[in-house]
Amino acid sequence: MVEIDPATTPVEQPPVVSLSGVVRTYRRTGRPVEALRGVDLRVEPGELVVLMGPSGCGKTTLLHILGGLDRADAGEVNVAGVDLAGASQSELDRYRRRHVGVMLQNDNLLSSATAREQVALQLLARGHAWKPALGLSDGLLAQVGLADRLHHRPDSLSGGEQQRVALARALAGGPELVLADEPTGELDSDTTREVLALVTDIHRRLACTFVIATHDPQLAQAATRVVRMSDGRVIES
Amino acid sequence: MDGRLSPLVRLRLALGDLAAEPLRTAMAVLVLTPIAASWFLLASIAGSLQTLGEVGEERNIVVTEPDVFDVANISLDASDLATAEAEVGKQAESVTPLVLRLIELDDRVLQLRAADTETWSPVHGLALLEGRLPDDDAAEMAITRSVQVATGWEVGDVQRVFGTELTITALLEGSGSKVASLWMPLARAETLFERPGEFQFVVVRLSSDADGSEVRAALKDVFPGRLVLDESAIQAEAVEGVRSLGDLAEVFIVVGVIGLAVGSANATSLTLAERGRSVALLRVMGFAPSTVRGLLATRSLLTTGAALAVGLAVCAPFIATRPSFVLRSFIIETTLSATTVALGCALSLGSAWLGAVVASRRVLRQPVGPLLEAR
Repeated sequence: MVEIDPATTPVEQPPVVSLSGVVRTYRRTGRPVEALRGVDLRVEPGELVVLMGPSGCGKTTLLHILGGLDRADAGEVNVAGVDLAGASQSELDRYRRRHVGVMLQNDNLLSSATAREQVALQLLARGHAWKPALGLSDGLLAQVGLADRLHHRPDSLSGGEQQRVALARALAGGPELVLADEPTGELDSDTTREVLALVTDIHRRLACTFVIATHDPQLAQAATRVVRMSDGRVIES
Repeated sequence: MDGRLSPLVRLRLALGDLAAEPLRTAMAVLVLTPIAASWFLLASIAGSLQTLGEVGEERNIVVTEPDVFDVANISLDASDLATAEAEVGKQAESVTPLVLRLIELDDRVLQLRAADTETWSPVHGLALLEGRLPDDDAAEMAITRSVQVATGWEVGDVQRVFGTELTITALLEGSGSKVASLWMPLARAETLFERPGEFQFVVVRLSSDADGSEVRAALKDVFPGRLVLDESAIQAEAVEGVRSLGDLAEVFIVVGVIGLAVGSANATSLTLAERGRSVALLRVMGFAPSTVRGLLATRSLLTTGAALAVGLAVCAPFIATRPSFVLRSFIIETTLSATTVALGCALSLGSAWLGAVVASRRVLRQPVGPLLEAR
């Protein structure tokens, strides 16, 4: 992870995310559901963008498309210089390995792996060898305040600790973009505050771009920009 | 940065995954263990069943009486021998009597056969494995190896037969229907049964250039109402019957391998059903389907390998303590060679790998997003 040095940071950098006219339609019980109806979005390097909107407005679908977990039916999707709209399955796999870290709402962790193994696995995917990956993993977990929980499995970690592990994993290997889907959705208010503080602290310290889908107004306050969605469209950016 | 995992890392991750849930892992192993143990047991006898009792060169035709419930009721005598001799003439090397009784010893029904010891090798195809042939005048007898395997009797032991104590002086190797018999000189049998001059079979040993079917037809003409049988045909029929068990065992061996493949596929399917979220998360991290499949296959190989080890451990004592047993008077030797074990393990592990690949194929084809939502 690189500390931001304003003196060397270029003034003009290409956007990390550039979406234009993105459409995604699902079929649920035989009926089409238009999850995204022509989304345009641009996210600059180092931004912490929060996606807000009611349930079913398309936030998760948008995150899945940004994360290379799903494909748009139409439109242009360019993330970290990769054209995701035209990417093959193996190119999407490579994109996820190289460019993006993903933090899901819940059940983020492998049930049989310890905290350090969870993070090390992401590093393995990004080309690190096992032993160095474990060393890096320990460092990342220390950064999120879990230096004493390295060998704990998910079932012996609290909800907040699990999300910290997921955050460390998403940050592992220094991705250009970190996506988080309702990272505090299932946490109590105290734990939510802790995780929020951690996310904003890491965003401030590291040159990393975040796109976070949330209903949480506290997180919106910490964002550099709030994007509001409704009915599959961006209504305020 | 292709996200591939080295075999060592795959092994470490799969072992860690299995160790994290020991009870579930033990159940998965236990489900496969009986299949593995059955496979090893069948493999240990299949070879023996296939190579059983090669039908010898015997060219014997036997004359006896039909439709009897007890062979002791069959009563042939010197006149029958003379009739046969006169009929076959130079087409026979010899025409000799054979006494046959069924006796019950230690809850086992055994055949007792008696013939002149000079005919044991040339006519009846017996080979001396140990000891010496019994004396005509002594209370002695010989046993075949099948009898030894079935009873544990040894040369030098004394056994009570029809009220007389007889010393075992020889261990014989017999073939075909004669493999599990007690043998004694004809004179000793006549004394034992107190029916001198009476026997149950006339055995015609054909000369090398004789036409067996012609001789048999001629004997049928002079022995109307009696059975005239080709001993080799009887023997071949008996061998064929046991060999068909060998064929059956081989079928079950193949079924066993398929069973392991299906069992492994089922175990992987269960893993995917229960741990689908983990598979989806690995895909989210950027691991390619082939890498995830490799992890699942390694997990399956470890489970099957453990089942093979437990299965081998379960059946090894049985094989060690029962090196052979008698089936329809044939000796079945239980041997499990290193080659058989290696072949079984290779087939089983191969089928486990295939099962895991097939079971995970559909799930790993799905895009990651729907996979996450489905779990």
